[in-house]
Amino acid sequence: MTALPPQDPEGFLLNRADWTREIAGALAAAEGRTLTEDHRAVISLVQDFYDRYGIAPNNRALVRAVKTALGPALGSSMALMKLFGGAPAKTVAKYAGLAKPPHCL
Amino acid sequence: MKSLLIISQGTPYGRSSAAEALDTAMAAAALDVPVTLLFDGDGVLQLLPSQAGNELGVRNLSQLLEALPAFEVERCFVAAEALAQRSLAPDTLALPGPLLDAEAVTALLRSADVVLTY
Repeated sequence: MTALPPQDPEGFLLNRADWTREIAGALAAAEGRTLTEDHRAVISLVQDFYDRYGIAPNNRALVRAVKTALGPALGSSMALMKLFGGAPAKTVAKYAGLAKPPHCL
Repeated sequence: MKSLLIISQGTPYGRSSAAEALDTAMAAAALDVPVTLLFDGDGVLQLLPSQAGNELGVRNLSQLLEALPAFEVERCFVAAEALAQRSLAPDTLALPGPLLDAEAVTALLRSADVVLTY
């Protein structure tokens, strides 16, 4: 079991510098998910999005970005909800080590 | 659905209103609200390049402005008069959309169902 770095009450890392691939796996495992290559590709995409824009994508922007970068098979609400559950943008941000998106309800 | 016009007319970092205007536009677009964003008054100062808001511990507006298309906020305009009043040349700015003269701004205001001013 990977020891987890400090988190906020909802499980978001307090410090992105603590993030590693293993931590991402552990955060997902804590919610009963096993990360596949598809999960990993989306997480990496969201980290790039954040570095470029200074903000994590909401669900709509996530679908659009995934469709553009990874293709239509993954770039749909259904596919992303299958991977990450009912609130994909929020869950991906969590596994990516980012703070909770400001527009996230 | 009612159309929404968001006018951003505050300085970039004096208050959080500039970032809030962008957040509101992004949220509206996510809910399929037809949203238009207009930079007027001191709001045009948000379009100056090479901002380093991160050093103030706040979000970097230049980056947020670049994110607008990714969040499907595609109708953005800039009031030409506000640029002229501040002696700003359009080609020195990171313009998110076309310039509008005073008449076009009036028409935009008339055409919106709801106007929010930040």
